[in-house]
Amino acid sequence: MSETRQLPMASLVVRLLRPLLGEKRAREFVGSNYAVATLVYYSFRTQHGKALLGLVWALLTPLLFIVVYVPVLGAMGMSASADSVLGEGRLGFPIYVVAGFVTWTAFTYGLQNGSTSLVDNPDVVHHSPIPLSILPLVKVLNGMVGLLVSGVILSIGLAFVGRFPGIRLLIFPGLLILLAMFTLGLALLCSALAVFFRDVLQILNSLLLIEFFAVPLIYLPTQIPEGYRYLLDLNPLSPFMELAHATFIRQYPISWHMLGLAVLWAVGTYAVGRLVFLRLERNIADYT
Amino acid sequence: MTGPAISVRGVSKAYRLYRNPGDRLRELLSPTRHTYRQDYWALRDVSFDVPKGRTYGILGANGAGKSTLLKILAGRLRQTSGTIEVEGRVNGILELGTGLQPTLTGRQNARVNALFLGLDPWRIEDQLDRILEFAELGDYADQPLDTYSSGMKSRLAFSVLTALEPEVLVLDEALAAGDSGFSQKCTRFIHDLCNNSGCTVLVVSHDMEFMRNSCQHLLWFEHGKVHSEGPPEQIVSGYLESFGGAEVELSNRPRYLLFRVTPEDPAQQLDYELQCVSWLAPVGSLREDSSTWRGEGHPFVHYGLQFLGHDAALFETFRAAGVLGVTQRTAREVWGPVRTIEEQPPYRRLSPHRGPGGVAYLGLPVPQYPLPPPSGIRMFGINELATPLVLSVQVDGAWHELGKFGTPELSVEQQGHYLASHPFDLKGLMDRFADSFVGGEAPAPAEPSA
Repeated sequence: MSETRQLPMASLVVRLLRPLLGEKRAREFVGSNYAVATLVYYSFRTQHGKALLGLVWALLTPLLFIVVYVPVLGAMGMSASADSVLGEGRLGFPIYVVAGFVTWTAFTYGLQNGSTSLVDNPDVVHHSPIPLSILPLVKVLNGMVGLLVSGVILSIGLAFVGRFPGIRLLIFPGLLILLAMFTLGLALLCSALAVFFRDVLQILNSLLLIEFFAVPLIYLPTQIPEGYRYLLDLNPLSPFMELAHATFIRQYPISWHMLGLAVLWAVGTYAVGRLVFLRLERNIADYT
Repeated sequence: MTGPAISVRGVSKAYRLYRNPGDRLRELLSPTRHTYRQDYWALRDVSFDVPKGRTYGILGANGAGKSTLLKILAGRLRQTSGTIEVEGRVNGILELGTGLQPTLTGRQNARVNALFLGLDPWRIEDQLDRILEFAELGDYADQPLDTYSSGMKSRLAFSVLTALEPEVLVLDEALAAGDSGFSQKCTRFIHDLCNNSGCTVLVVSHDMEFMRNSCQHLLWFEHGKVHSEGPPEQIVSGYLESFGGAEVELSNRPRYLLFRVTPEDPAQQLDYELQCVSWLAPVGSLREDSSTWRGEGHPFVHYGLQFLGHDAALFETFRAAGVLGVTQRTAREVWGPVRTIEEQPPYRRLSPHRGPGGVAYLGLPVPQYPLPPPSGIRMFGINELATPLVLSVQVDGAWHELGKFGTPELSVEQQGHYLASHPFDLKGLMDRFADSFVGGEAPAPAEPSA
């Protein structure tokens, strides 16, 4: 068959899945995933393609973030107390900030671009037969590919300074999957609602502005006064941040509590987003 | 004769119009189920059958509900009432070039576009070579799209649809692209598809020649209803007669000058088109060599400029006018008398539901907004109008206003309208509307500066 020549990877996957799903369903499954993967690939390329430094920005942005934030926070005395907790010497806090920041970037990129993906592409919404949920999905996955790349670069960087996270990197795929589900749930919800009320996009941006400070990103959970720490449990993004920190910082405590919360938030948000999207989908083309 | 491939029974489609988003929220939250919306009926009780393997055409003025019907058939919109049955795999080409990205190359865009058109992912790599071969882009296939001229983009966009192997095809004004040679190739392709492939086709077009030659049966839509149907010859002549036998008042006709663009290879075509744009440029802000033209005017190189798609049509046009340097106030003053848009609810409030004809309908009047009256010659240039636009200009009833082309002052003797396009598209337009058809050659390309 000609496609065996053309799509070797996909054909291989089909062969693996054939006993499970049967030939036809395996081909359909792989075909649609191949389509999504292609769109994600080009979305990612478009994101970085025009920039002179391309992918280097995936590393450069968090580094710039350190340059700006760490001295300021250091002056406020936050990094000193953080370093002692994180146990990586003076590098502890910068690593903490970068690990959080790349996760934050992936989340906000996927959520913001996913939310506008329907209203910004009326031509696709009106004229293309593909399922509409692919548009936010592609943007969310684009963000996750960014996180994957940053994660790899960060790990290499950590190895250079003698702080390679080692076995802890096994948490990383889990983080990617859970965060993707969580982000996708929100993006599906927001993108569908934004079709009917554009205000959703403004509200979203304002909430993200607050969330940036509400989530332990430039401070440690332990730096929050004891009496207010329960607020972290209420913040849906904080368990994902915890996972990110636990991935890249060797001494960071892994709490099953946070992992459980992350799974709950991811599954719950995805389910709600999916349901709302399915409910509204039939009217989306009418209003885009 | 087998059963119908497309069966449409009593289909109606209402668009809900809200004066503002607040009304929508109020209706959603209303405990008494009070409605704040107005329903605009784009289709009312439409019924017809298309037998398997036949080609049916739909004609009618912009806003008659043609594009809405096709979107419903393609599964994108849902009808408010009635039933639709389609037998076989439907491919809808409602717009060329869905999802094209300027930073990707032609090849990459073909892949993305094919996915958006619903081509089986397993077949894309196979078809890619065929698509690019049809597009005749040469080495440009691996250049980013933003280096393409508008003609090349439309060639690429059209070529992707040659990869589809539909059982039922729904086409909205997507009949041809590019220069005359390529456009003939497109026409041949569509003609073959309609006549020899066994595919069932439902096509919307303003190209009466095509309707006569390729369709076996025509439906004439008016105000969302089937006005009449029958053999092509009869419907076309009835349709043309309905707005005064397609004759336009002679006194108000503008003058046109045609730049003929005759490319041999794509690279040369790009050169020529850029050349044309730069010839047009002196009329506007892209001023390059003012000595070429005396007087003022504005260039109009792309009619969909700044159309966002989700705004009310009126504001879309204001925005487009703004890009051309026309204030909203001026636009508003001129818009009223010039266009009948205020009487066109679907366009006023419901911009997203325009078909390609509708976008053209909104877009082309924009450059009619007068700039402050200059002394001497006034002109504007139009570069490479897409074929559907020109075709809708040709025959759509509302567009016969084009004969007057805006305000009377625009039709004063010295004023000119300069159009750069491929002769194939414009010949008919010229013959019909222009009192002095200057079949001029393209200005000789300047020697590349050392």
